[in-house]
Amino acid sequence: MNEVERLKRDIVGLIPRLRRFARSLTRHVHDADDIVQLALERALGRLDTWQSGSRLDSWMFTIVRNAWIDEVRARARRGEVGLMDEHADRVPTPVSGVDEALSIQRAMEQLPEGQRSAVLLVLVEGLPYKEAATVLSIPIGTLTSRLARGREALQSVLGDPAGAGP
Amino acid sequence: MTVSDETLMLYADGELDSGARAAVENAIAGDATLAARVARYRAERDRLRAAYAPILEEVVPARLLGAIESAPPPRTTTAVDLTGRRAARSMRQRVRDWSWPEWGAIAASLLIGLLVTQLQSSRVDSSLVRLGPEGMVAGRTLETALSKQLASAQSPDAPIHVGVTFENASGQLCRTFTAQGAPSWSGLACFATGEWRLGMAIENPPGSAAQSASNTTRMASSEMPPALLRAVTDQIRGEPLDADAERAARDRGWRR
Repeated sequence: MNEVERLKRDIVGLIPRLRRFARSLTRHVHDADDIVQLALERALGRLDTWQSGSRLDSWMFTIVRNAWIDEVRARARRGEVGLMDEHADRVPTPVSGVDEALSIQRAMEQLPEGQRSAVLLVLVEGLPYKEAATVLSIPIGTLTSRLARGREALQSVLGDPAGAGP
Repeated sequence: MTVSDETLMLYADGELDSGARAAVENAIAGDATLAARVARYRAERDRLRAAYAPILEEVVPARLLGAIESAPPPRTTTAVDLTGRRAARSMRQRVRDWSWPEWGAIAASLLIGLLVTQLQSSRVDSSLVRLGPEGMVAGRTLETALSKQLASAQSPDAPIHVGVTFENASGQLCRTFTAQGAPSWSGLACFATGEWRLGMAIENPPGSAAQSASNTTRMASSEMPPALLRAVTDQIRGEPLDADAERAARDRGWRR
Protein backbone atom coordinates (compact mmCIF):
# COMPACT_ATOMS: atom_id res chain seq x y z
CA MET A 1 0.00 0.00 0.00
CA ASN A 2 1.53 3.32 -0.99
CA GLU A 3 1.65 6.41 1.19
CA VAL A 4 -1.42 8.02 -0.35
CA GLU A 5 -3.52 4.89 0.01
CA ARG A 6 -2.45 4.53 3.62
CA LEU A 7 -3.37 8.14 4.30
CA LYS A 8 -6.77 7.64 2.69
CA ARG A 9 -7.39 4.58 4.78
CA ASP A 10 -6.42 6.45 7.94
CA ILE A 11 -8.75 9.28 7.00
CA VAL A 12 -11.60 6.81 6.52
CA GLY A 13 -10.91 5.56 10.03
CA LEU A 14 -11.29 9.12 11.31
CA ILE A 15 -14.69 9.72 9.70
CA PRO A 16 -16.73 8.77 12.78
CA ARG A 17 -14.75 11.27 14.89
CA LEU A 18 -15.02 13.96 12.22
CA ARG A 19 -18.79 13.48 12.15
CA ARG A 20 -18.89 13.85 15.90
CA PHE A 21 -16.89 17.07 15.85
CA ALA A 22 -18.95 18.42 12.96
CA ARG A 23 -22.17 17.63 14.74
CA SER A 24 -20.98 19.57 17.76
CA LEU A 25 -19.98 22.47 15.52
CA THR A 26 -23.14 22.63 13.43
CA ARG A 27 -25.61 21.23 15.96
CA HIS A 28 -27.35 19.61 13.05
CA VAL A 29 -26.99 16.05 11.76
CA HIS A 30 -27.28 16.74 8.05
CA ASP A 31 -25.28 19.94 8.11
CA ALA A 32 -22.61 17.99 9.94
CA ASP A 33 -22.35 15.32 7.25
CA ASP A 34 -22.35 17.97 4.51
CA ILE A 35 -19.44 19.66 6.24
CA VAL A 36 -17.58 16.39 6.69
CA GLN A 37 -18.08 15.55 3.03
CA LEU A 38 -16.76 18.95 2.02
CA ALA A 39 -13.81 18.57 4.37
CA LEU A 40 -13.00 15.11 3.01
CA GLU A 41 -13.03 16.43 -0.54
CA ARG A 42 -10.79 19.32 0.42
CA ALA A 43 -8.41 17.10 2.34
CA LEU A 44 -8.12 14.64 -0.52
CA GLY A 45 -7.38 17.50 -2.86
CA ARG A 46 -4.41 18.59 -0.78
CA LEU A 47 -2.99 15.45 0.73
CA ASP A 48 0.42 16.73 -0.33
CA THR A 49 0.17 19.55 2.23
CA TRP A 50 -0.15 17.15 5.13
CA GLN A 51 3.15 16.92 6.98
CA SER A 52 3.97 13.37 7.86
CA GLY A 53 4.75 13.10 11.53
CA SER A 54 2.08 15.61 12.48
CA ARG A 55 -1.28 14.48 13.79
CA LEU A 56 -3.69 13.52 11.06
CA ASP A 57 -6.70 13.94 13.34
CA SER A 58 -5.78 17.55 14.18
CA TRP A 59 -5.24 18.28 10.51
CA MET A 60 -8.65 16.87 9.61
CA PHE A 61 -10.40 18.63 12.51
CA THR A 62 -8.93 21.91 11.29
CA ILE A 63 -10.22 21.32 7.77
CA VAL A 64 -13.67 20.43 9.12
CA ARG A 65 -13.83 23.58 11.20
CA ASN A 66 -12.65 25.80 8.36
CA ALA A 67 -15.27 24.26 6.11
CA TRP A 68 -17.91 25.14 8.67
CA ILE A 69 -16.63 28.70 9.09
CA ASP A 70 -16.83 29.14 5.32
CA GLU A 71 -20.36 27.78 5.32
CA VAL A 72 -21.47 30.09 8.12
CA ARG A 73 -20.03 33.09 6.25
CA ALA A 74 -21.72 32.02 3.04
CA ARG A 75 -25.03 31.71 4.82
CA ALA A 76 -24.59 35.13 6.37
CA ARG A 77 -23.95 36.57 2.91
CA ARG A 78 -27.10 34.89 1.63
CA GLY A 79 -28.98 36.54 4.46
CA GLU A 80 -29.69 33.37 6.41
CA VAL A 81 -29.28 34.85 9.84
CA GLY A 82 -29.30 33.32 13.23
CA LEU A 83 -28.03 29.93 12.13
CA MET A 84 -25.29 29.92 14.70
CA ASP A 85 -27.83 30.45 17.44
CA GLU A 86 -30.79 28.44 16.32
CA HIS A 87 -30.81 26.39 19.48
CA ALA A 88 -29.70 29.15 21.79
CA ASP A 89 -33.09 29.50 23.40
CA ARG A 90 -33.59 25.82 23.96
CA VAL A 91 -34.53 25.10 27.54
CA PRO A 92 -32.26 22.57 29.21
CA THR A 93 -34.02 19.41 30.22
CA PRO A 94 -33.40 17.84 33.61
CA VAL A 95 -30.59 15.34 33.63
CA SER A 96 -31.59 11.83 34.48
CA GLY A 97 -31.06 8.25 33.43
CA VAL A 98 -31.30 7.56 29.71
CA ASP A 99 -31.61 11.26 28.91
CA GLU A 100 -28.15 11.94 30.30
CA ALA A 101 -26.41 11.87 26.92
CA LEU A 102 -29.03 14.03 25.27
CA SER A 103 -29.04 16.54 28.12
CA ILE A 104 -25.28 16.86 27.99
CA GLN A 105 -25.35 17.40 24.24
CA ARG A 106 -28.06 20.03 24.68
CA ALA A 107 -26.06 21.78 27.36
CA MET A 108 -23.09 21.79 25.02
CA GLU A 109 -25.19 23.27 22.23
CA GLN A 110 -25.85 26.28 24.39
CA LEU A 111 -22.19 27.14 24.72
CA PRO A 112 -20.63 29.62 22.31
CA GLU A 113 -18.91 27.78 19.47
CA GLY A 114 -15.40 28.59 20.70
CA GLN A 115 -16.03 27.09 24.12
CA ARG A 116 -17.98 24.17 22.74
CA SER A 117 -15.22 23.21 20.33
CA ALA A 118 -12.57 23.57 23.02
CA VAL A 119 -14.51 21.27 25.33
CA LEU A 120 -15.20 18.75 22.60
CA LEU A 121 -11.67 18.56 21.27
CA VAL A 122 -9.98 18.33 24.66
CA LEU A 123 -12.45 16.41 26.80
CA VAL A 124 -14.22 14.22 24.26
CA GLU A 125 -11.55 13.78 21.60
CA GLY A 126 -8.70 13.80 24.10
CA LEU A 127 -6.51 16.24 22.17
CA PRO A 128 -3.69 17.88 24.14
CA TYR A 129 -4.32 21.62 24.72
CA LYS A 130 -1.61 22.48 22.23
CA GLU A 131 -3.24 20.45 19.44
CA ALA A 132 -6.70 21.79 20.22
CA ALA A 133 -5.37 25.36 20.16
CA THR A 134 -3.84 24.72 16.74
CA VAL A 135 -7.11 23.33 15.38
CA LEU A 136 -8.97 26.40 16.61
CA SER A 137 -6.18 28.79 15.54
CA ILE A 138 -5.93 30.39 18.97
CA PRO A 139 -3.13 30.77 21.53
CA ILE A 140 -2.99 28.08 24.18
CA GLY A 141 -3.91 30.62 26.88
CA THR A 142 -7.13 31.43 25.06
CA LEU A 143 -7.87 27.73 24.72
CA THR A 144 -7.36 27.25 28.45
CA SER A 145 -9.70 30.06 29.41
CA ARG A 146 -12.38 28.94 26.93
CA LEU A 147 -12.13 25.47 28.33
CA ALA A 148 -12.46 26.74 31.90
CA ARG A 149 -15.48 28.90 31.04
CA GLY A 150 -17.12 26.14 29.04
CA ARG A 151 -16.72 23.63 31.83
CA GLU A 152 -18.06 26.02 34.41
CA ALA A 153 -21.15 26.67 32.31
CA LEU A 154 -21.71 22.96 31.76
CA GLN A 155 -21.33 22.26 35.44
CA SER A 156 -23.94 24.86 36.30
CA VAL A 157 -26.42 23.45 33.80
CA LEU A 158 -25.81 19.80 34.49
CA GLY A 159 -24.91 19.85 38.14
CA ASP A 160 -23.19 16.85 39.62
CA PRO A 161 -24.23 13.33 38.83
CA ALA A 162 -25.20 11.32 41.86
CA GLY A 163 -22.20 10.07 43.75
CA ALA A 164 -19.62 12.22 41.99
CA GLY A 165 -18.77 14.34 44.96
CA PRO A 166 -20.00 17.74 46.22
CA MET B 1 -0.90 25.85 49.56
CA THR B 2 -3.42 27.63 47.38
CA VAL B 3 -4.10 26.01 44.05
CA SER B 4 -6.02 27.92 41.42
CA ASP B 5 -8.95 26.38 39.56
CA GLU B 6 -7.00 26.65 36.37
CA THR B 7 -4.07 24.72 37.78
CA LEU B 8 -6.41 22.04 39.04
CA MET B 9 -8.00 21.82 35.62
CA LEU B 10 -4.61 21.53 33.94
CA TYR B 11 -3.71 18.85 36.44
CA ALA B 12 -6.93 16.91 35.85
CA ASP B 13 -6.34 17.08 32.10
CA GLY B 14 -2.75 15.88 32.36
CA GLU B 15 -1.34 19.18 31.07
CA LEU B 16 1.14 19.96 33.86
CA ASP B 17 4.83 19.17 33.66
CA SER B 18 6.23 16.80 36.24
CA GLY B 19 7.36 19.50 38.70
CA ALA B 20 4.04 21.29 38.79
CA ARG B 21 2.23 17.96 38.88
CA ALA B 22 4.13 16.86 41.97
CA ALA B 23 3.31 20.15 43.71
CA VAL B 24 -0.41 19.72 43.01
CA GLU B 25 -0.30 16.11 44.16
CA ASN B 26 1.24 17.21 47.42
CA ALA B 27 -1.41 19.85 47.92
CA ILE B 28 -4.20 17.38 47.11
CA ALA B 29 -2.85 14.83 49.57
CA GLY B 30 -3.41 17.28 52.40
CA ASP B 31 -6.70 18.77 51.25
CA ALA B 32 -9.82 16.76 50.58
CA THR B 33 -11.55 19.78 49.03
CA LEU B 34 -8.88 20.03 46.35
CA ALA B 35 -9.14 16.30 45.69
CA ALA B 36 -12.90 16.65 45.29
CA ARG B 37 -12.49 19.48 42.80
CA VAL B 38 -10.13 17.40 40.69
CA ALA B 39 -12.61 14.52 40.86
CA ARG B 40 -15.27 16.90 39.60
CA TYR B 41 -13.25 17.82 36.53
CA ARG B 42 -12.63 14.19 35.78
CA ALA B 43 -16.23 13.18 36.33
CA GLU B 44 -17.30 15.93 33.96
CA ARG B 45 -14.90 14.66 31.32
CA ASP B 46 -16.16 11.09 31.73
CA ARG B 47 -19.78 12.16 31.39
CA LEU B 48 -19.00 14.16 28.25
CA ARG B 49 -17.16 11.23 26.71
CA ALA B 50 -19.99 8.87 27.49
CA ALA B 51 -22.54 11.30 26.06
CA TYR B 52 -20.70 11.60 22.75
CA ALA B 53 -19.52 8.00 22.42
CA PRO B 54 -22.65 6.70 20.63
CA ILE B 55 -22.01 8.96 17.63
CA LEU B 56 -18.92 6.89 16.83
CA GLU B 57 -21.09 3.78 16.54
CA GLU B 58 -23.36 5.18 13.88
CA VAL B 59 -23.25 3.88 10.35
CA VAL B 60 -21.13 6.14 8.20
CA PRO B 61 -23.13 7.41 5.21
CA ALA B 62 -21.93 5.99 1.92
CA ARG B 63 -21.49 9.42 0.41
CA LEU B 64 -18.71 10.19 2.87
CA LEU B 65 -16.78 7.09 1.83
CA GLY B 66 -17.57 8.01 -1.74
CA ALA B 67 -15.99 11.42 -1.21
CA ILE B 68 -12.70 9.68 -0.54
CA GLU B 69 -13.01 7.15 -3.30
CA SER B 70 -13.94 9.64 -5.98
CA ALA B 71 -10.94 11.85 -5.28
CA PRO B 72 -8.61 12.03 -8.27
CA PRO B 73 -6.25 9.06 -8.18
CA PRO B 74 -2.62 9.96 -7.53
CA ARG B 75 -0.55 9.06 -10.60
CA THR B 76 -1.31 5.37 -10.71
CA THR B 77 -1.09 3.14 -13.72
CA THR B 78 -3.56 0.31 -13.84
CA ALA B 79 -2.52 -2.78 -15.66
CA VAL B 80 -4.72 -3.35 -18.66
CA ASP B 81 -5.93 -6.89 -18.87
CA LEU B 82 -8.24 -7.41 -21.80
CA THR B 83 -9.49 -10.78 -20.64
CA GLY B 84 -10.41 -9.28 -17.31
CA ARG B 85 -12.05 -6.33 -19.01
CA ARG B 86 -14.14 -8.58 -21.22
CA ALA B 87 -15.23 -10.68 -18.27
CA ALA B 88 -16.09 -7.54 -16.38
CA ARG B 89 -18.14 -6.23 -19.26
CA SER B 90 -20.07 -9.44 -19.62
CA MET B 91 -20.61 -9.53 -15.90
CA ARG B 92 -21.86 -5.97 -15.89
CA GLN B 93 -24.33 -6.79 -18.61
CA ARG B 94 -25.50 -9.82 -16.75
CA VAL B 95 -26.28 -7.80 -13.70
CA ARG B 96 -27.16 -4.57 -15.41
CA ASP B 97 -30.40 -4.31 -13.55
CA TRP B 98 -28.91 -4.74 -10.14
CA SER B 99 -28.97 -1.34 -8.67
CA TRP B 100 -28.28 0.28 -5.39
CA PRO B 101 -28.07 4.00 -5.83
CA GLU B 102 -26.99 4.70 -2.26
CA TRP B 103 -23.61 3.16 -2.84
CA GLY B 104 -21.19 4.69 -5.22
CA ALA B 105 -18.20 2.80 -6.40
CA ILE B 106 -16.19 2.50 -3.24
CA ALA B 107 -12.90 0.71 -2.94
CA ALA B 108 -13.17 -2.55 -1.08
CA SER B 109 -10.08 -1.76 0.98
CA LEU B 110 -11.68 1.38 2.41
CA LEU B 111 -14.81 -0.50 3.37
CA ILE B 112 -12.80 -3.27 4.95
CA GLY B 113 -11.00 -0.65 7.02
CA LEU B 114 -14.27 0.69 8.28
CA LEU B 115 -15.59 -2.79 9.00
CA VAL B 116 -12.56 -3.59 11.10
CA THR B 117 -13.23 -0.42 13.11
CA GLN B 118 -16.81 -1.51 13.59
CA LEU B 119 -15.82 -5.06 14.49
CA GLN B 120 -13.61 -3.66 17.19
CA SER B 121 -16.53 -1.75 18.61
CA SER B 122 -18.63 -4.95 18.55
CA ARG B 123 -21.16 -3.62 16.12
CA VAL B 124 -20.92 -6.70 13.97
CA ASP B 125 -22.39 -10.05 14.89
CA SER B 126 -19.45 -12.41 15.39
CA SER B 127 -21.45 -15.34 14.04
CA LEU B 128 -21.29 -13.53 10.71
CA VAL B 129 -17.82 -12.12 10.67
CA ARG B 130 -14.85 -12.57 12.90
CA LEU B 131 -11.34 -11.29 12.83
CA GLY B 132 -8.86 -14.07 12.13
CA PRO B 133 -5.07 -13.84 12.23
CA GLU B 134 -4.96 -13.02 8.53
CA GLY B 135 -7.95 -10.76 8.28
CA MET B 136 -11.67 -11.23 8.34
CA VAL B 137 -13.23 -14.64 7.97
CA ALA B 138 -16.80 -15.86 7.99
CA GLY B 139 -18.23 -16.63 11.41
CA ARG B 140 -20.18 -19.81 12.10
CA THR B 141 -23.54 -18.84 10.61
CA LEU B 142 -22.11 -17.28 7.50
CA GLU B 143 -19.70 -20.16 7.02
CA THR B 144 -22.53 -22.68 7.09
CA ALA B 145 -24.53 -20.75 4.53
CA LEU B 146 -21.57 -20.22 2.20
CA SER B 147 -20.53 -23.86 2.42
CA LYS B 148 -23.96 -25.47 2.06
CA GLN B 149 -26.43 -23.14 0.41
CA LEU B 150 -26.99 -23.18 -3.35
CA ALA B 151 -28.11 -19.94 -4.93
CA SER B 152 -30.27 -21.99 -7.25
CA ALA B 153 -32.11 -23.67 -4.38
CA GLN B 154 -32.40 -21.43 -1.38
CA SER B 155 -35.39 -20.35 0.60
CA PRO B 156 -36.39 -16.71 0.19
CA ASP B 157 -36.60 -16.62 3.98
CA ALA B 158 -33.04 -17.77 4.51
CA PRO B 159 -31.22 -15.40 6.87
CA ILE B 160 -28.29 -15.39 4.49
CA HIS B 161 -28.75 -15.14 0.79
CA VAL B 162 -26.02 -16.41 -1.48
CA GLY B 163 -25.60 -14.50 -4.73
CA VAL B 164 -23.03 -15.23 -7.40
CA THR B 165 -20.39 -17.96 -7.25
CA PHE B 166 -17.25 -17.53 -9.34
CA GLU B 167 -13.60 -18.40 -9.58
CA ASN B 168 -11.10 -15.62 -8.92
CA ALA B 169 -7.73 -15.02 -10.52
CA SER B 170 -5.99 -17.09 -7.85
CA GLY B 171 -8.22 -20.06 -8.67
CA GLN B 172 -10.23 -19.79 -5.46
CA LEU B 173 -13.99 -20.10 -5.43
CA CYS B 174 -15.72 -16.99 -4.23
CA ARG B 175 -19.34 -16.23 -3.39
CA THR B 176 -21.27 -13.06 -2.76
CA PHE B 177 -23.85 -12.94 0.00
CA THR B 178 -26.33 -10.77 1.79
CA ALA B 179 -27.02 -11.34 5.46
CA GLN B 180 -30.47 -10.17 6.47
CA GLY B 181 -30.94 -8.37 9.72
CA ALA B 182 -30.63 -4.96 11.20
CA PRO B 183 -28.29 -3.85 9.85
CA SER B 184 -28.01 -6.15 6.87
CA TRP B 185 -24.71 -6.88 5.23
CA SER B 186 -23.53 -7.72 1.76
CA GLY B 187 -20.14 -9.09 0.97
CA LEU B 188 -17.79 -11.32 -0.89
CA ALA B 189 -15.91 -14.30 0.51
CA CYS B 190 -13.37 -16.64 -1.08
CA PHE B 191 -12.59 -20.15 0.11
CA ALA B 192 -8.95 -20.66 1.07
CA THR B 193 -7.21 -23.05 3.46
CA GLY B 194 -10.44 -24.34 4.86
CA GLU B 195 -12.18 -21.07 5.61
CA TRP B 196 -14.18 -18.38 3.90
CA ARG B 197 -12.09 -15.22 3.83
CA LEU B 198 -13.92 -11.98 3.40
CA GLY B 199 -12.62 -9.89 0.56
CA MET B 200 -15.26 -7.32 1.23
CA ALA B 201 -18.27 -6.66 3.39
CA ILE B 202 -20.49 -3.64 3.51
CA GLU B 203 -23.23 -2.65 5.81
CA ASN B 204 -26.36 -1.70 3.95
CA PRO B 205 -27.00 1.93 4.79
CA PRO B 206 -30.22 2.83 6.55
CA GLY B 207 -32.68 4.10 3.99
CA SER B 208 -31.34 1.83 1.26
CA ALA B 209 -33.58 -0.72 -0.38
CA ALA B 210 -32.34 -3.32 2.05
CA GLN B 211 -33.21 -1.41 5.17
CA SER B 212 -36.14 0.75 4.24
CA ALA B 213 -39.67 0.66 5.51
CA SER B 214 -39.91 -2.49 7.57
CA ASN B 215 -38.25 -5.72 8.44
CA THR B 216 -40.59 -7.53 6.12
CA THR B 217 -39.12 -5.72 3.14
CA ARG B 218 -36.39 -8.02 2.05
CA MET B 219 -33.82 -7.16 -0.47
CA ALA B 220 -34.25 -9.11 -3.66
CA SER B 221 -31.42 -11.59 -3.95
CA SER B 222 -30.44 -10.19 -7.32
CA GLU B 223 -29.66 -6.76 -5.93
CA MET B 224 -26.02 -6.07 -5.45
CA PRO B 225 -24.35 -2.85 -4.34
CA PRO B 226 -22.22 -1.36 -7.14
CA ALA B 227 -19.17 -1.49 -4.90
CA LEU B 228 -19.62 -5.23 -4.51
CA LEU B 229 -20.34 -5.67 -8.18
CA ARG B 230 -17.15 -3.88 -8.96
CA ALA B 231 -15.19 -6.11 -6.62
CA VAL B 232 -16.65 -9.14 -8.39
CA THR B 233 -15.87 -7.84 -11.85
CA ASP B 234 -12.35 -7.00 -10.73
CA GLN B 235 -11.70 -10.47 -9.43
CA ILE B 236 -13.67 -12.84 -11.60
CA ARG B 237 -11.94 -15.18 -14.02
CA GLY B 238 -14.25 -16.36 -16.75
CA GLU B 239 -17.96 -16.59 -16.16
CA PRO B 240 -19.91 -17.03 -12.93
CA LEU B 241 -20.75 -20.64 -12.13
CA ASP B 242 -24.11 -21.85 -13.32
CA ALA B 243 -26.37 -23.98 -11.13
CA ASP B 244 -24.76 -27.30 -12.09
CA ALA B 245 -21.22 -26.00 -11.63
CA GLU B 246 -22.20 -24.44 -8.31
CA ARG B 247 -23.56 -27.77 -7.06
CA ALA B 248 -20.47 -29.62 -8.27
CA ALA B 249 -18.21 -27.09 -6.54
CA ARG B 250 -20.10 -27.52 -3.29
CA ASP B 251 -19.87 -31.29 -3.52
CA ARG B 252 -16.10 -30.98 -3.98
CA GLY B 253 -15.93 -28.92 -0.79
CA TRP B 254 -15.21 -25.68 -2.68
CA ARG B 255 -11.79 -26.90 -3.75
CA ARG B 256 -10.70 -26.77 -7.34
